Amino acid sequence: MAQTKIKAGGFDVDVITGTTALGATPADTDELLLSDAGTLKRVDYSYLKDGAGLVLTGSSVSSTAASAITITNCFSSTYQNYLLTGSMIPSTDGSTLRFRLHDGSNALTASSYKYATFQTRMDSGGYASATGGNDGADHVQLTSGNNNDISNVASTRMFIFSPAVADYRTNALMDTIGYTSSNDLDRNVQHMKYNTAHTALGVTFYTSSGNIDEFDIRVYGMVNS
Amino acid sequence: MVRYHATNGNVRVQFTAEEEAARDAEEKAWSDGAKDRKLEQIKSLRLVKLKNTDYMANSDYTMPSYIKTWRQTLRDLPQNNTSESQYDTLLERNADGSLKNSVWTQPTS
Repeated sequence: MAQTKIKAGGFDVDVITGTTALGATPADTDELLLSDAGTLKRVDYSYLKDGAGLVLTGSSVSSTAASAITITNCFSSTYQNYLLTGSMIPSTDGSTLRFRLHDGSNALTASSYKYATFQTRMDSGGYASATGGNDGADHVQLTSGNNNDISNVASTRMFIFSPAVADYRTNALMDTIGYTSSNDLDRNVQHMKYNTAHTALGVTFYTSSGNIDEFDIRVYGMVNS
Repeated sequence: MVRYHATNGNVRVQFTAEEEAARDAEEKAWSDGAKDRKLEQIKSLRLVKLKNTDYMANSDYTMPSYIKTWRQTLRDLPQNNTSESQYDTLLERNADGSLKNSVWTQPTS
C-alpha cells in the first residue's frame, strides 16, 4: 500500500506547540527538517549555530567586586579573531583600568606589551587630545584616572587578532571610554601587540589600585566563514 | 586581604600567593607614583592652556603683555610648586569639575 504524504494543511500546529520545549541551546547533533531545493532533508544544528557571525566564547558578569576579571579559554583554534565588549566600575577613585592577555594558567606579564594611545578628552574647559603609550609594559593601560561612581562606568570594545595562533604575536585594536575622577570624559583609541612568542587563551582586567566593583565582560569568536 | 579572580560565569578563584605578591607590588608602585602622576597632570593641563594661546605668538598678532606673563607663570609652575600638597592645590576642582585654582584662568587684562 502506498504511503500517504502529509500535505500543507494536514500538518497541525499542535505538532509543534504541543511538544515539549527543549528550553536550551540545541546540541550539535540535534536535527531539524528543511527543504533543500525542494527535497526534504534533515540538518544538524552544528551547521546552523555559527550563522550569526559572533559566538559567545566566554563571559563574566557580576555586581559583586573582584580583584581581577579573568576569562580563560575564550580563545582557541576554533576562531581566528575575537570581539570583546566590557563595562567595569573600579572601586578606587583615580585608579586606572588595565588589561593583559592570559595563557590559560597565568596572565602574560612579560614587559612585552607595545601600545600607543590616542586620547580625546572633553572636560569643563573644552576639548583636548593627547598621545601616549609604552614600548615595553607588563600591561596595557586602558584609561586614566577612573571615576568610581556607578554612573561613570568605563566601557571598552576590542578586536583581538589571532590570540591562539602560536606563530603570531597577538595584535589588538582597543577603544575605551572612561570618565575620570576629575570629571573628564575620555576616549582612548589604542593598538597593541604582545611582542613575545605566546599562545593566549584568555584575558585579564584589573585596576592599578583596588577592585572592580561591577563588571560585564563578554568575548565573542568571529565565525571564520 | 584575600583577592579573587572573577572567571567565566563569574566563578571566583582565589589569587595564588605569587599573584598576591605581584599585585601588592603593583599597588605599591601605583601608590608611590602618585606625586609624579599629579605633576604629569599639571603639565598636561598646562600644555592645553599654552596651546590655546599659541596663536597669539603669530607674526600678525601682538600678544598682550598679560598673556605673556600668564604663559610664563604656567611654564614656571613645576619649579615653583614641588610638593604633593602644592600639586593638590593646583589640581583642586570645583563641584562642576572646573579647576579651582586661579592660575588656570586665562586673564583678560
